[in-house]
Amino acid sequence: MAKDLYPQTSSLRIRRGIWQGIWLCCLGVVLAAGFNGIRVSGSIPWAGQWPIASAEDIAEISLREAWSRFQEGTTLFVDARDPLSFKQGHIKGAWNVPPGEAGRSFDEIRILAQAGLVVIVYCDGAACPLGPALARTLQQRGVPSVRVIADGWRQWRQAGYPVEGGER
Amino acid sequence: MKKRGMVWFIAPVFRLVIGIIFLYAGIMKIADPSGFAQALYNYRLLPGWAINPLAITLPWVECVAGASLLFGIWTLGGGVVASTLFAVFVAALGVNLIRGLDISCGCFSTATAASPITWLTVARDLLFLGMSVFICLFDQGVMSLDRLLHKKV
Repeated sequence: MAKDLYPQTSSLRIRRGIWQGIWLCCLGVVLAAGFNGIRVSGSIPWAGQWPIASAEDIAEISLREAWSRFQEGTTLFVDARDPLSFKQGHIKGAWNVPPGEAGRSFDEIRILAQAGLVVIVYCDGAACPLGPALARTLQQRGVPSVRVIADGWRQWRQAGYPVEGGER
Repeated sequence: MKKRGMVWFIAPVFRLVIGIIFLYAGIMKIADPSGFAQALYNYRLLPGWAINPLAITLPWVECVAGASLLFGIWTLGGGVVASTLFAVFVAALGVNLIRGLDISCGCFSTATAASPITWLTVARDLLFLGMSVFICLFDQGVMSLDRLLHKKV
């Protein structure tokens, strides 16, 4: 029978495990930094530009809450996709503000938001950067209570909530 | 000692399984860091500044933990790292399933169309979490380099 190599009490084992784990993580970080620095192709910068909506300055809204607000009539949905996609189908009553065109309608959006409507920006696909980008632009231009619904178009359509537009 | 009989046999098997899983998952992500960064972004849980550093370092931490478990070097540490990572993975998957996001797991492949997350993914990671916790609590370093070196000393 092999002799005890590790402590037998759980607390001592976990304490030793945590210390070893910290060192293993440090080793991983050092190897990662070294390899990312010397690799010929595929390395990425440490500071990337990600149009993140959550966890930063723009709040997300869940599908359920968006739907409940929609039923109350206290929402203004803003579709960040291109005009063709918007024509093919969008959330009922949504406005289309494609990339680079926020300036044209942001005054009206701000007035409606100041009157108490929650502005909910959406796009299609979880990876779509247009929604968070537009939400940030609107917020920077003084529109209060801007929210983003991640993967909004797909979620809304899949839930069977009201849409309009001549698609499919 | 007698009542630990089965434990002596089971823990090395768990180490082998989790070690291979982490090494494989880590290598797949190291091969495509930008794809993994995109997968992390899609989870919508991290601030933008944290995505690239995590996409660069997490795969290597997985590889180091995997190697630790597979070869039996500091297996308690490898078990703690594996348990922590699986707990985080379960939480991240659960949150996004509840939110209803249709995203790729990014667990073993960084392709966005590959392996969409489901509750089965959560169940699988919970199983791996259980195996990792078992290693932390019961592994005795059987068939490990730790024991080999310990004997020599």
